[in-house]
Amino acid sequence: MRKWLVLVVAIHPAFAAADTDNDEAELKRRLQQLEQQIQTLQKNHDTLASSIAKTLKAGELAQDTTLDLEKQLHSKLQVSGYADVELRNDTRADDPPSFRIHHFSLILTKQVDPHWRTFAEIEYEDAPRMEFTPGAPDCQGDCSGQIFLEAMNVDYSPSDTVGVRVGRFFTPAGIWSIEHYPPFVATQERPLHIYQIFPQLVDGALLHGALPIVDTFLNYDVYVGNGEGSSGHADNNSKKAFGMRAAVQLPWAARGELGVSAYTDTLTGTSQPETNKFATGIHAKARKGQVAFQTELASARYKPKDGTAYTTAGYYVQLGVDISAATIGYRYDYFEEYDMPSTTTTDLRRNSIFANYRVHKNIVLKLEQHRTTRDHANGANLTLASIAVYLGE
Amino acid sequence: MKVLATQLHRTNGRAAPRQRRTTGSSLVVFRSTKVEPPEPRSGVILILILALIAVGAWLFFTSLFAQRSGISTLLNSVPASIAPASPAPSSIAANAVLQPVIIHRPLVNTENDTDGIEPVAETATEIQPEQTATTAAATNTDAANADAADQRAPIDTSHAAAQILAEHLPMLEPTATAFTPAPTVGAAHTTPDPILARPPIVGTDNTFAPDSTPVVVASISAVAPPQETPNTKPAHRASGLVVIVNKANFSAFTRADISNIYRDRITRWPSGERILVLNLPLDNGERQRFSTEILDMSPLDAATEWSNRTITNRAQNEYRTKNADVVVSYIQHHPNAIGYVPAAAISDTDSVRVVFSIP
Repeated sequence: MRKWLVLVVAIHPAFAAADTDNDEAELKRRLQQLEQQIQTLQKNHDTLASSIAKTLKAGELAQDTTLDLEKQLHSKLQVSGYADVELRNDTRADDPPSFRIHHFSLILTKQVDPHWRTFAEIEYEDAPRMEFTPGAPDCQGDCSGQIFLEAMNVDYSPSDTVGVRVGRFFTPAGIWSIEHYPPFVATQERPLHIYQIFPQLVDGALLHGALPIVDTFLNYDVYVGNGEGSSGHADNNSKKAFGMRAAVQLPWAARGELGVSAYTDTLTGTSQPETNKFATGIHAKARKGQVAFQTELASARYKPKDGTAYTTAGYYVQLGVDISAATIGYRYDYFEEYDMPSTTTTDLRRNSIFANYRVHKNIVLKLEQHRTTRDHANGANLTLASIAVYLGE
Repeated sequence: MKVLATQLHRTNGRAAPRQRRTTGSSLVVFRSTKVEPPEPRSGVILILILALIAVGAWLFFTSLFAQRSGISTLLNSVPASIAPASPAPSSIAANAVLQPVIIHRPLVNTENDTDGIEPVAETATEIQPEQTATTAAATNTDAANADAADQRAPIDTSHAAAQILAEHLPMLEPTATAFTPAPTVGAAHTTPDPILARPPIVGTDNTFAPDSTPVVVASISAVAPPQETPNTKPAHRASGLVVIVNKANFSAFTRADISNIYRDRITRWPSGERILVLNLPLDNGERQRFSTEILDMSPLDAATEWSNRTITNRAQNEYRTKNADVVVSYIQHHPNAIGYVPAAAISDTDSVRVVFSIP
């Protein structure tokens, strides 16, 4: 009995020690694996760091390249413009309904630097066909259309408050004289008095800018030019035309504006004696929600050097309602036309309804109906269906 | 111990001049010349001896079990087989170049993100360091080993990756979402990462809320002083829109200022430099919101108005159309730029400055 006891006591620790040795070996093996794992992870870690560093460097390079490229692109000559085609049916004319390419206009702009910019517009109106000769059998009447440089000027704007523009530019007067491009106006037909009181273009110099006033801005244009009747080659007399336009942004109405315009000139020519002209106008526009309102009123007083003074005037009121991408609206026009030889005036009135649908930011489909009456005589109807495309971004 | 047992055997049956009692271990040896029944006294001695043996054995086994228990615990804490760490995935190979766009993932993956910003999880997987370890285990052919590897505490390399990014991304700080699992909405900053911990860019108060009083200004033309406003780290919400400028731009803005900039009425910074106006694409939902709330017109109307200004030679400035992530990147690199993006697209206030928020 005692022998067995002694034997058990003697050999059992030996078994236990052997088991411990196995566990230690296993533990060492696993620790070794862990060390290998850590080394591998460290390599991955280093690889990741290296990759990230390269990525960032590549990203910065790409960013710089993009900026440089964009800078170059924007310093290039920018080409935009517009075109419009229309189907017109004028009951006053004897012609049947006709299709025409009304405008194709190219606008070239170059921002030379942050302050200097050039702008030019070349307009092809009524699709001039250069290969035909006016009067030829296949070119009856005025088949040639018109090509002209509608605007070309150089602008220097050191700040928002003041800038100088020299060259040919649209007369800053009212609204339609400036915002008249088919893709952005409600109708192809302009209001009756537009270009009848203020001239369409001025060759001269313009001082312009926007002055902050309290919570809004006062946009101003002051200009001097050769005046009406001058050619691009030279002035028609030694007397210059002067004009101004001032408009304040209405802070309580989005796209609201209230402004005044004035213009003075001395007209000369073979068909009329030297005449002093003084034109004034007011305009307003506002938009509230989907409703847009726009109106202009202008009058011009003519005083011949040796004759009786007379006045012409006109106005229009236009209301439009946006329904999604479509706009429907109405405009009432009035213009008091003066016939100098007969020294008589004629009242022109026009009611217009229109519908526009902007199928794309730069493409608008138009349908408009105008009924014009002359001194309450029988009216003439003009129906237009057109597509106007803006050729810019 | 064996020696002592042998001695016991040898001395059995021989005359012994003396009786020796040996101690020193748990064993006691008696020598006698003849075998006689033990005396009653000898029985007591035997019991004592057995007791001593029992105590000694108890002490021995106790220490032995303690040792074995420690080893077993250690062994259990180590997987039976360590899965080999996978090599770096191809996307982060040493010669690979990651897409830098990943740094602009939203901090919070908002549900309303319709601005072309992919969910965080989709884009972050490309360089998930944590995934590198766990995925390696998962791809191991030995399923048991993989299970064991999953049971162990994962080696979290996300912190290390974040540190790397912090070193290599001076302007484009790493986002938490780029290297950690996408947080749940609304919990982005509840448990800040000790390494990724940064001044919170998402706060509860809207410092530049439209109704709040701005630091300046009737017009941005009347410039704010070129010093940091009290809110150099303006807080904004993780939802909504934010108007951002370059970090170096300290101009103050009102809603009217922003409207005037985007309507071409203000075209220059107080320094005289042209404002580079960045817009989101026309069909972008965020642009719709911005245009409606700031410009009070639809994006289409705003776009046609700008085109009209351009064609009539009245546009003083120009704007460029970029995606939201590009807007952020662009503004970081261009001190004269201004843009608006979803608030969730901002991950780095050190490079861009939020100047206005639209909740």
